[in-house]
Amino acid sequence: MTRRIVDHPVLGPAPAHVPVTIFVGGTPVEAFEGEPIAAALAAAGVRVFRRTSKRGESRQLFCGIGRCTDCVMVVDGQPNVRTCVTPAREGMRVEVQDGRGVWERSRGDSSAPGGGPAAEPVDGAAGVRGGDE
Amino acid sequence: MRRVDVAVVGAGPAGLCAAAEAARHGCEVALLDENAKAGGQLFKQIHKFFGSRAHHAGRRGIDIGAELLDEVAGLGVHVCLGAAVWGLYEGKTLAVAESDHSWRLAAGAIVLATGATENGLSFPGWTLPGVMGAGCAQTMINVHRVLPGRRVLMVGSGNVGLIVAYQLLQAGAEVAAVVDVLPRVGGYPVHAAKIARAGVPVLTGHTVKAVAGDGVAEEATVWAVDEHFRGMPGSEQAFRVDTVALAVGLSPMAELAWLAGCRMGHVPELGGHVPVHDGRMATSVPGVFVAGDVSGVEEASSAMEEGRLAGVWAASAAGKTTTEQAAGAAEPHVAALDGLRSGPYGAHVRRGKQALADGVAAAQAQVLGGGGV
Repeated sequence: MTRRIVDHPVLGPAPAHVPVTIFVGGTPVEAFEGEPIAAALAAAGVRVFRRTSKRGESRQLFCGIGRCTDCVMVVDGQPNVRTCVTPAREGMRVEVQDGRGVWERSRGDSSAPGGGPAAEPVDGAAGVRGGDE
Repeated sequence: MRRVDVAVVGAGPAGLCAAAEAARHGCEVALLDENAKAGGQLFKQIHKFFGSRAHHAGRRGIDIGAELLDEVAGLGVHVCLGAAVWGLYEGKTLAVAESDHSWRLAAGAIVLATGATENGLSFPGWTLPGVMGAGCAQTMINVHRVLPGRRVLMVGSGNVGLIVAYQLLQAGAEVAAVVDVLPRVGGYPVHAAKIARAGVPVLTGHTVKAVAGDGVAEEATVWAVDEHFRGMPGSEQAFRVDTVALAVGLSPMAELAWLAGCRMGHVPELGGHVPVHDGRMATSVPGVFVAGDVSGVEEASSAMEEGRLAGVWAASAAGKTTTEQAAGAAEPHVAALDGLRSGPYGAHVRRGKQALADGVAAAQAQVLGGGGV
């Protein structure tokens, strides 16, 4: 059963939307174009967005407005993307992030063109909530 | 470097009103916000505003938001979205980051209207998926129209807790209970009554003992507290819930004010560290003003009035109006704020704002990392 709110006593029927398909760990998930990735995942019942670096604890949403970074995932090969404020687009690839995540293009290729981002992410890039253990 | 008369940081209710008022007084205004849409949190306020004698009572935040967007558009305000302000330098220069580049903006006066952020609450299991801010749940249901969960425990019975609990019901979720550590409900009786009519138990004098589950929130245990707010063994009650929403207050997001060197004071009534400001919303740094939750956590209604005040006085600081003109334009907003803060529910804000206006927080050296400020 969908978690989408189709009809609402104050807001009325759901506004028109353009359905797109995003891929979460390779599995197709229906999203509405332009809605936050996190909303599409919540609608699909996805409850684990990332796992912390030391204890592998699961995390999902906390603030929902781009402040806390609890919901970061690897999106189209880029880690630490705040899914609560990043719009869903057709064909987007979304992966559960392990720890601080790894840039896809730097995997096994230290000579990524354009002096791409370092394989070691910046400290504290993810998870300000209660220590990231 | 770009240059405007007045730069406003944050396009929520306070920032929108500040921008509109400065523009109305002849300023070229830039309104910056890191989000993709303006309006701040107004567009998740689907309830009718209540408890204010000012003109917004009886109207919904979403409608007020739409009206404010029209107002700033009509006044020619430059609205820069997806633009995060990350620096504030001497000479009133802002550093602004967009997705792929960064730029600087000089201003004759600056209004900081950066809002507040939800507080967390620490208990075993509070980091589990399903434990989230009440505002997060509200954003999901009212803006994105997705249920974050099906069965919710609400922690906190202030207006946010009560309103979001009711809105979760409207959205089709179940609310197992509302708990509050205090001995009585914190929010307006009208909101509490709606919850009671829906049959949701309100457990005052209770807090969360723990949230547990197999990698996600599945069960929340609450227990009664004694007069020292310590949990009482034997009083536990368990609720099968997939979501625990925390409505335990907000903290002003005053980073830019710290950065600007504004004198800060710690005022518990206002949510924590806030920039010391006077009745014109002027901080201790000439030309830097504040408005809305960053100057002390209140409600959207007062944020809008503070925004208008700050906008008027920013226009004056930018040299676009005389002090006399500004004082005249400010008057109705000062009166509106007094009205909004009258009565028992405004007492804490009156105390907090008075402490700042008196400069008490500063004079007692309770500032700038002075420990226990």
